[in-house]
Amino acid sequence: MRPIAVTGLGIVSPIGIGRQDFWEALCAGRSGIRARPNVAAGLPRLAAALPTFAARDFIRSPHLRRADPVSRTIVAAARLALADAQLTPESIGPERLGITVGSVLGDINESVEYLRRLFTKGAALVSPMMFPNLVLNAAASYTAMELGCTGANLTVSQGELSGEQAIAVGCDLIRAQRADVVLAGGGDTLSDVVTATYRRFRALSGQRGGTEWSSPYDAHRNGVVLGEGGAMLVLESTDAARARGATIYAEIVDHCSFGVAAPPYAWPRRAAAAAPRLRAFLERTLPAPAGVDLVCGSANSSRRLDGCEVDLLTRVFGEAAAGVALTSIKGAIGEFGAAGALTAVAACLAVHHRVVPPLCNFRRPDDGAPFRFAQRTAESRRIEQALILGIARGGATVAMHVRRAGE
Amino acid sequence: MNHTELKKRLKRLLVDGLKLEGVDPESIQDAAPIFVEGLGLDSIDALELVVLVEEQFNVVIPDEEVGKLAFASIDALAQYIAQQQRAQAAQGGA
Amino acid sequence: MRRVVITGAGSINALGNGTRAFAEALRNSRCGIAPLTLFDASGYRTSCAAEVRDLTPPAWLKPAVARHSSRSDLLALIAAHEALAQAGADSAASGLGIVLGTTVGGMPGWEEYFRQGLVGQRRRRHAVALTLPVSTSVDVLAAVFGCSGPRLTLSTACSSGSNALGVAVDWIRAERAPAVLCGGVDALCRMTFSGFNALQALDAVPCRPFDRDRAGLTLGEGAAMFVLEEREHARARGARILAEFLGYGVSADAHHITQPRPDGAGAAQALQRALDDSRVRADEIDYVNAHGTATPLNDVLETRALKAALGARAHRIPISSTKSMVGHCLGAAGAIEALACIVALREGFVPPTLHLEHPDPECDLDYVPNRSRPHAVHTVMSNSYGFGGNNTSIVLRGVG
Repeated sequence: MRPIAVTGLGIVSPIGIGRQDFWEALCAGRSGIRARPNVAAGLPRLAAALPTFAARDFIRSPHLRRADPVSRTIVAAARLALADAQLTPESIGPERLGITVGSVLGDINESVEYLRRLFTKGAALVSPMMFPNLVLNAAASYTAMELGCTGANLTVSQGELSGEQAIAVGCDLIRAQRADVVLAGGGDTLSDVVTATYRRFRALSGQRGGTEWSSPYDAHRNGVVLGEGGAMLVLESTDAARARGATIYAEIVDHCSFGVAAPPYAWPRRAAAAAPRLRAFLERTLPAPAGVDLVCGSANSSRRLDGCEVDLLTRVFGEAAAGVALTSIKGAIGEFGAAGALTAVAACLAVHHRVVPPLCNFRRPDDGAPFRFAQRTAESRRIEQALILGIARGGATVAMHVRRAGE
Repeated sequence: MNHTELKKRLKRLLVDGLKLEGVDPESIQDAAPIFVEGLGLDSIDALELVVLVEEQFNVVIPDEEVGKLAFASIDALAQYIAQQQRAQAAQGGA
Repeated sequence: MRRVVITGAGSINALGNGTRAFAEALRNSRCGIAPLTLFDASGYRTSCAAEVRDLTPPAWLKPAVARHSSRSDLLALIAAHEALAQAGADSAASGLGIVLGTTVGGMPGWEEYFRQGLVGQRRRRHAVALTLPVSTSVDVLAAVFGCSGPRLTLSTACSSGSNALGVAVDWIRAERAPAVLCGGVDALCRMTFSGFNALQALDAVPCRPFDRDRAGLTLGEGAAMFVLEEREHARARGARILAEFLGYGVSADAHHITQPRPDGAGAAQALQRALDDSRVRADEIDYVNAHGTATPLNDVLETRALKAALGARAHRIPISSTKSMVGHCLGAAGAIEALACIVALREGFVPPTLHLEHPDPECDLDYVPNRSRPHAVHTVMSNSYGFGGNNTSIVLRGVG
């Protein structure tokens, strides 16, 4: 499988806008999680919200005045990523620039507002302007309009793996020669709907006792803290990237995607069945005898997911686990459908800078967990090969092998 | 509200309701065509404006023909609304 | 390059349950559009819809699963079950992948749950909230059929179904799965009905694609699912091959969030890319199943795109819109129309465009007005153009 180069990174996150601000904040161990105002007493109040940010500063097309906040986030991230890659739609060729966006619920807040009007004011008074924003592919369409690009354009959704899957599909579009460059990533927003659902099923931190906090992989983790944001990565063939002298943050060697049995709408308790598949995947993609130096997981401070990931990874790495660094950035950005796109950004920067991104609030792991868990501040380390791992509710699993760009 | 107030409110509605970023409501001329190149409005804006006007001023724009005349300019729209409201008041009184 | 074949198909829509019923209805030029009964349509400019009547959980589905399934889940399950049975593939053992195209997901159930909340209804089934994300249907399919391969949901509005098939083709070509259960599903709901109504995109009467007096679409619902398989893999296990999936092409209009590019250039691009990907010349196309939504804009731009990409061939082949029969099923449309193509390939007739009374001078191709027509076809194309300018064309070829 041909490796794909990542040459541009655009991020709109609760800890910073743009690659540099994001990375700096991440490495400093900063978290975007804050107490939200106006939350009734007794309810979980933490979330990682985006800072007030003028998407208008990044968006040029007048068409986008009607765009919803999620689309604006993604378009802004796309603009940032392209600029970071030092590319323009003209330099790529508008027909050869593809877009893949992942999101779990898109513009859910406007969907709710739209329905509220429908049910309280009737069909004649719904907003015609709002309706087009409610399809999941609105962001990808706005991005195409903003950039004037007519290449392959796909919107994917896979729960908490929406970001990783958009990147996987983007890589495959290039491999299949359906595009030369792909902007891949996604975004999701905080919403009362999602918060209410998590809360109703008592999945948020603090609901089952203990302090409300986000501490992925920590032995005292007690539930999820939600967040929002978006990221877009510029993907292109390694040959093309080298030919134009681009900075290659990382190479995506390959990915694998499969499903494990899970209770409906819930994370699997154990994903043992995934271990042989993951091992086989790594054996295919890793240069022997070198192994994985860093795993960026999707752990989000839930008791079950984090434990499931550690169990799976322990089965995959066995004795080598002690030498594998393990981290997750959800303590900094919260949990949301497209968060995996930001995890991918962090993984690329980790191999590029040879730094292990910190684990927020981490004190100690579950008993017996063998990994070199990240610390609460960034740590320099020899990192050549990294693995991005994601497990979604319902059992879908994605693993993406990322490596340092060859000299 | 008086006619001047109404027109001011309509300009505000246009800018806020149609998300015309960076357009100063005061810069919209009373007699100038609303649906013209300058403001970059399209058919979705037209549909949205109908809904906004119907809801906020409690009037009805029954069809496209009436709509075209009513939305010809801020002046025309203000006149249409005032007319409709007078007619409603008359019916209410009878 | 690895070749991709179709070894199973399943269907449910307003024309009936099962691929046999669908094929018969197409041959008999039946219309599935009727007054809407799922929810109150007063206040909308139309009450026409292509609804699936009397949808009930099938006997083979465990009651616990049925209870939690959204309307979209049920439609997808029914179609998938038929496709898997036809293919004779052992879904659990084969690492079967799943790709599904959909727009609304669990919205039909969720909007009702939300409405109940607004009116203060005390007892609500909160589990409904879990079915809202569009990606939950593939999880349900995976759980019910025991699939452990890759899974993905495509949500590109009206081209979701075609894009799902396209991604499945790419997965097989890239050896990410030897076989993929794929297709599209969507269910009628007040959100989409009211939205298209607000955009004045619904015709008051059953839609009239390519007709001079056409005034918009008629919404429908349903699912079409397929088993796509690598050709040698299918042959080795003696599977019956329904048709071959030659390729697909996708483009973006980059024009407007609802309106398509009126010159059809984006659509023509997708068409050309599909021909290139399929290694098929324009003059090999025997039939086109059009996107044909019956909006004033679409039918003209699609005619232009067909002429631009197929040249003289466009004037010599039948082209029809089966949306005149099953309505516009949004995320399911591309998949349902792929099935219509397979029926045409296998049974030697082309389905009609119903309600075509008055030709539009700007739509001057052969749209097979009103009655299906016996016509042997070997290589066919289907177009789907999504809201926001997401254009996809697929190419299928008959076998034997």
